[in-house]
Amino acid sequence: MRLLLVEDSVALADELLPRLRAEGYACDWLVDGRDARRAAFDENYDVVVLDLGLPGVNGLDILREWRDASLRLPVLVLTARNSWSERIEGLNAGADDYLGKPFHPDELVLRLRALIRRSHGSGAAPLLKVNGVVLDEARQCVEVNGRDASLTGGEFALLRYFMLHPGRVLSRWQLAEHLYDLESERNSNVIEVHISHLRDKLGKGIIETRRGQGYVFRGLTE
Amino acid sequence: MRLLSSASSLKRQLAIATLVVLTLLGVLVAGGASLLFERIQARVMESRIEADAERVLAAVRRGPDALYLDQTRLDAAYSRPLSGQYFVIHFNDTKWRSRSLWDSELPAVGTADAFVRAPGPGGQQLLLTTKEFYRFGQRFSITVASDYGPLVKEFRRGLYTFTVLWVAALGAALLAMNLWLGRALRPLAEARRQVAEIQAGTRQSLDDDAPIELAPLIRQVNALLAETHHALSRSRQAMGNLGHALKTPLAVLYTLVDREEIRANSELRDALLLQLQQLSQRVGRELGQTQGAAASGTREPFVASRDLPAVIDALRRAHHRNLRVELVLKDDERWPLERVDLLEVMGNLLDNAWKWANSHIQVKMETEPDNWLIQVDDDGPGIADPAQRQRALQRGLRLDESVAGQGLGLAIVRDVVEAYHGKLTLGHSVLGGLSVCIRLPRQRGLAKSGDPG
Repeated sequence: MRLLLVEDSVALADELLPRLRAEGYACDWLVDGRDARRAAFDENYDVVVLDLGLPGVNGLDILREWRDASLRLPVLVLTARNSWSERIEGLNAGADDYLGKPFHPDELVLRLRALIRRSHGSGAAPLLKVNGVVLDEARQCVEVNGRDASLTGGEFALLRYFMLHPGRVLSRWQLAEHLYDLESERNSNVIEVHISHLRDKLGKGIIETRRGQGYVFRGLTE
Repeated sequence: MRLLSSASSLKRQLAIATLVVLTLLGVLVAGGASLLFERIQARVMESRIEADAERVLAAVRRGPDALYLDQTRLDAAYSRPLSGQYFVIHFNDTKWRSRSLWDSELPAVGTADAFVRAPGPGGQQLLLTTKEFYRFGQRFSITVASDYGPLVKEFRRGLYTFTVLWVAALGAALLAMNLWLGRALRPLAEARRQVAEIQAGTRQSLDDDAPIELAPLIRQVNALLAETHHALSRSRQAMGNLGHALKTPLAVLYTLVDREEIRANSELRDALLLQLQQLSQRVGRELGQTQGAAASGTREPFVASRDLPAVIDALRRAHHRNLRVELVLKDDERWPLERVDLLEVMGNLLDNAWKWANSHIQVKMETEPDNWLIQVDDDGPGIADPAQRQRALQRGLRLDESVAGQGLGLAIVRDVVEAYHGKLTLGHSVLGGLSVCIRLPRQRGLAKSGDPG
């Protein structure tokens, strides 16, 4: 999951980024709203955490611009302006969720999880269940045939991405695009290694290889 | 003296001024008229008695043996006793008196041709003069007197009538002035009404199409209002900026508290979290107060059918569960309550209900004869003990309770309700949980000004 954090407080970003990375998000951080405006078009983000009180430009204006350009990217607004009228204004501008400062980091993580699930049409159940595979995002482990299997951070992020796109063919390039931030080296061999580990833990049929195209998440039902 | 020094009533002061002026004027006119009258009357009387003296002389005739007085040539009044017309004729050593003098004497007149006033018989007021003539080779000294009392009486009667009319006119003038003044002061009453409207928040400034005497005052008041409004909004903005500026560092602190090092020491973490929560609640509440519509001056009505679904939608996203929310909206007219304020109330009430409800929330909004009624019910655990419900509304207990997880998040709601002079009550819901009921008086502001007349 690629996440764009647009936040002008360095201290807050410094605290949030490790926390979000630990949750399996590949995070990019921008301070300036004008950069963020373009970045949403240039990169394949899965979710944006947007502060409204940005220097130079109002976060709501950026959001409206994105929505006018039919950018359907899920956006969570993170702001100090959190009276109810401001909250509703933000949602009307196209925000998918609205979190007022100060907030508990756990709350942000929960909201992001729910937001991403919602944007992929999955329910709000505590566990992500797709085709017989049960992923516990809070504990970052997977349940197969009634027993838990632990996952590394890379495996977790990859499996979650697969499970949120079941049945879709995902190319190696596409996976790298959504699993690594701008600063990471995109080595597609790493993805192959993660996939083979997931197959070891969950069974061969869980991810199907389409030669020349990419991979498809099949799960355990077939 | 107390009447004159009382500056509290313009009407009274003007009435006193009118009374004093008209009374002085009346006394002057009456005094002047009587002086003038007396002088004219004296002239007329004087020339009359001079003529009388000559006519009396003409009645003196030479008889066969001596001089005699021809009664036929004399006025009949000289024969009627105490008629008010008298004469005395001296010549040689003879003295003739008019019969009208009866047995009284005329007072002496010192010098000839002088006019003398003196009391006469029977309380009469006499004007006398003595004339000297030479006739029939003799020197005649004729003193004539006439009673001017009836004339004075006539004048007094006239003066009395004049005074009565004057006092009546004075009364009428005061009455008319009172009415006029009442009409002239009507713009003041209008201005007072407009000030009450400003206080109630339904008006921004006073109408300046007032009488020219009042217009400068109204312009001054408007300037003052504008200045106050400006200063107030500046300080509110400053406070808002401060509050918002505090929130990001608070968010940083929340994430810091979440670090492994601090998680390891749970006692320290709890203490830090407690302080953080108090700090952020305090900031949130103060911001709520500075940003309400009453404060910011924005005017947009709340429309339940448009605004409530937006609130519910926001809550569905924020809470990780879906509830059935039933809206009971009677009379979905535009509520003349500020959207910003009512959104804050409904948002917090519903947020609170969402936390506690099992599956069902009911929102009721309707108009009562005197109030706007808002009621939010849930099917959660509620608060069974009425005493505890009372406690939940008390000031000061809220912070501690909410830290312990029992908070109702009603602080901001209560602030708004208080700003509208409304009432917030907690009760037992028919749905089984808590029922929060808010009544906002429809006559907002007028109640505040105290004197609706």
